[in-house]
Amino acid sequence: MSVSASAAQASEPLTLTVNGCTRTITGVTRDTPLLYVLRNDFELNGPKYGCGLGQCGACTVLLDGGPARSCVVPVAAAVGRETLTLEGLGTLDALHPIQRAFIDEQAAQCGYCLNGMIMSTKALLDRNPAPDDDNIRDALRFNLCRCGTHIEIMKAVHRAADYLKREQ
Amino acid sequence: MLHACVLGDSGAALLARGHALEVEAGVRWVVAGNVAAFVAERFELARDAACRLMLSARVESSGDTLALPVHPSGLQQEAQYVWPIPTERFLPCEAIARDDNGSIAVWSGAPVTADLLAKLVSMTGLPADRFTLHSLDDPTDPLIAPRAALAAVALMAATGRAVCVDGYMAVSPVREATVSVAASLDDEGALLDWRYVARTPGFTAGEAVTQDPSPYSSSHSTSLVDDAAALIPGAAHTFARESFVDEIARGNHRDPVSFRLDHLDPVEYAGARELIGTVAERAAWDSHEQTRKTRRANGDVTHGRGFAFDKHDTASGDNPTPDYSAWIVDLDVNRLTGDVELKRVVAGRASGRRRIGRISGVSARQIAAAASRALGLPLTARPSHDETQDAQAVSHELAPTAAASSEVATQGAATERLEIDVSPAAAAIANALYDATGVRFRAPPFTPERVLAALEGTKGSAAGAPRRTKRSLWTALAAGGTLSLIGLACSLWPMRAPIEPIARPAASTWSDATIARGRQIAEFGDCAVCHTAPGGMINAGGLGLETPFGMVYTTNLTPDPKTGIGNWSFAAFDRAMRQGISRDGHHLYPAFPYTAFTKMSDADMTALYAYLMSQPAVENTPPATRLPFPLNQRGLVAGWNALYLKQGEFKPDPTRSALWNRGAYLVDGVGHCSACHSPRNALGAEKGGRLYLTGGSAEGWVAPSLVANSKAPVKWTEQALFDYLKTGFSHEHGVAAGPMAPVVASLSTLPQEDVRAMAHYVASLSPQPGLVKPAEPLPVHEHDAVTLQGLDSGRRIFEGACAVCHAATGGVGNFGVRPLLALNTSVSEATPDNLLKVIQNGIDAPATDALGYMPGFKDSFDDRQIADLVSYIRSNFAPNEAPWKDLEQASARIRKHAH
Repeated sequence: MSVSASAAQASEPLTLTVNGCTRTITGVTRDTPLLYVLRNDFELNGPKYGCGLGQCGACTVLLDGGPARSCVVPVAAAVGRETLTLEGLGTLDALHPIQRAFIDEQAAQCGYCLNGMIMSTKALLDRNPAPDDDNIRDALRFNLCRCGTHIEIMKAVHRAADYLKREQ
Repeated sequence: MLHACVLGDSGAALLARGHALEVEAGVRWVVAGNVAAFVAERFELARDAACRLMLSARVESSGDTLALPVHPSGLQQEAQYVWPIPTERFLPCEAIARDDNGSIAVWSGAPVTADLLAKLVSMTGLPADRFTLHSLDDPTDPLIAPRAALAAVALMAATGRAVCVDGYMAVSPVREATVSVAASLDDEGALLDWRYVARTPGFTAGEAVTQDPSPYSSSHSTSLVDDAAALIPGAAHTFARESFVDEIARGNHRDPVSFRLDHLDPVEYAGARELIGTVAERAAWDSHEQTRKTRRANGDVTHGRGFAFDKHDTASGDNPTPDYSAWIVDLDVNRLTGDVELKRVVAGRASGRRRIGRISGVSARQIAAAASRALGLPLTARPSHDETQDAQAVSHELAPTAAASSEVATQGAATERLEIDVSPAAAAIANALYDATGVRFRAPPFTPERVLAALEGTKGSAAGAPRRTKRSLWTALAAGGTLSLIGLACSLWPMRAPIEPIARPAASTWSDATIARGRQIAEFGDCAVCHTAPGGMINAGGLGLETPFGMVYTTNLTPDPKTGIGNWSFAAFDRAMRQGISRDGHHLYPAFPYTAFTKMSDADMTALYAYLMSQPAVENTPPATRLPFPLNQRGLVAGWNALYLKQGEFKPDPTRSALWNRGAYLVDGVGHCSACHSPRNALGAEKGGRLYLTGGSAEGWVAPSLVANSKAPVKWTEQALFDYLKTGFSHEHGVAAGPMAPVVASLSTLPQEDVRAMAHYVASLSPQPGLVKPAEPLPVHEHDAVTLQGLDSGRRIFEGACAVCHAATGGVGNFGVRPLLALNTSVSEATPDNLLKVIQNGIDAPATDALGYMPGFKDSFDDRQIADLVSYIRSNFAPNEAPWKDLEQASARIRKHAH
């Protein structure tokens, strides 16, 4: 019960599965935002701190395959679930097709939103491998980009879908 | 087709009487070979005639019963018990014989065997190829089935018509067994001598054999049984022994259960003692004996409670495992009519010598059959409303049934194991009758005529018995108004008597099952939600509840003797829960919902006590509640109680289903739903009747209506309620938040059937839509340009801050559920408070974490922005409701209020 749990919050170690690795964290309260633990404790800086209110999408990670705004999800919610961050998609030597597509289309100006764009694209393509323009617009509707690279991002998503299809 | 009732073992005397019996028109007495039967167009006529014949035979032979020579034992106490042995047993069966142009077709419950065919051939003298035999899948007694088949053919031959044999009347030579028991006690009240003699008068074969001694230890013990034909059932011995032990105990002013426990070897009978303890505890055997009596005694109806126990060794092996069963019966006796109304049976059984395995209940069917036999009237039993459905129930409630009594009498071939489960029934009922009336019943069945006769016989001596009537408080109040009542209450009961402190009971007092059950009840009641301070230890108290009258701090419920309830006896706990009176006698404020807990069953109350007392003790003194004068005069609560506290356990509605009653019990009792969901009057009492569950408030939140006037855009269905209570989310209604979140957090861990029952009950309070319509999108509301302009800032805030989770479409989804605001009750409520609270504070402790989390926006938006947002939400998602007014001020008010 939530009420009873509050007393012993801070001391209890929490075990997370992040990008396939099991990691234990101590000294954080259960309601610490997941984003803080990922960035500050696990040094996974792919997810970005944007608005802190789940509005902009820059902090998006996947929890059990579904997108989550890690700035408003407490770390306790990730216990027992698979967390996937941008770092879990590909490496510098072996980029994930979506990452490759975004680079090939140069779909960034400042690049701050790209973590969220890429993770949301992953969620979209997992569900719909061949989206049209309307599908992409609708899916990325709640990921904010202030630089105006929307056209490039659209192209990148199409190209990512293309790469993924070819690699199958 | 003719229907026949065959009479078994029809001797010459019976045949003569059969001829002479006056029967109804259409009934014929047919004798064919060695088969004698009544036949008629309808079976009931034939059966009635057979019963009348048996009855006439009984009357005629009643004179030849030998009076049992009773030898005075010379011991302090002696008594004689009579157990009826049915002289005839009616066995239903089915056998049909029909002649199709010389070919005889026979249907019966007997298997088609060469033996049966050979018998038919020899009986009729017809060739075997004339018979076609069919076996019916029919639960006829295997001994009777072939006889019924033969009888059907014989009667067909005699009558020339197709015949169906539907019943068989078997006859026994003995009518009753008698048991004489005598005993004496030593100076310390322990059993010294025990003499037991059982016999069947008129059928004594000579030597009496020594029987297993009674399980109760005594210095000298003799048990003799003269029953060569093995006619005395085990239940007869149990009845005599358990009745007599009860007589000794009562005669010496001892509690019948503790008297038995004192005479059961603590090592050899450790298992039996555990069973007895558990059953006594489940039935709340010794709790507030006197209040129970006064509460239920009503003029000519008196309440009684009886206990009985049985032990039986299974005959296999060198080291047989004993089986035990223990029964506690609650009943009411009407002294004017002799009617005995069985209320409740708590019956448990177990096996094992020093240790027993799982204690289980006795099936409702067996309980009904045993109780029906003992009372001579048909009863039905069903698990008590407080029993969970998955386990074998221990506690049952009984009610008269309309079924024909013949069905009761035919509960025949029970296996030995089953017999011991129900063998204490008659003694438990007889002991309860004594408890109720002061008259000892030593011969079952306890029919109204016999009970009345026994009561009439003792009327003279019972005249001095104290009358247990109490003048109703309401009668006393009839003359005066409320004000004088409160004054009266204060002067009469400034303080109630304290209940003596006890040493904290060891957790081993209760079984794990009881404690687990208590934990569930604590979860249903959400004790910890109010009795845990933020950051404090669970149930250690100290949470401040803001009431319209001031801050009330919750108390420490842990078993700490100094600051908690460690030295509270069950009686003290029970009084606090049912009457709102602390152990030391002071009144508790009705912020503690004892008005609901008073409906809890004794069994649940005991389990809850067991659970709380077995938890870790925490020394914590919560802040004292200080209300302003005159509310700090706790004596006033006595007056409040006189007005608003309706004591008494939940009464199930017999016209409703078990599910409904279970739900009502949970909702109105331990669940105390109405504490928040019913409006309260100026004195802080829940308004009932029409206003029951029509919505109230809790900790500054609006507790929405649960009934027909609900503002929910889509009517709540049973399934939606179930989903909501079990998971905290209903697609058509939204998520549980605020004070409802911990309620759902508890319910999500509790048995699904119970949550279903609550949903079923709550759904039954509103008219249900015939078809559950899927949520329809609301018609687009046309706004004029001015409104649109005013709402535009709200729309932009919504798109930026809310739409990612709350828009109907778009996005790739987000962790948690997607509650649609058009279906959300908070958006349609009369006041914006719930919506404002959620927007400002978010949901950081969802009922279950799969629901997802909502951030609070109070530090991001000012009151103007929140007001814009909320007006937009209201006009867009609840277009048919009037716009909320003064939202900026409302937002500021909510903001000031601590989360």
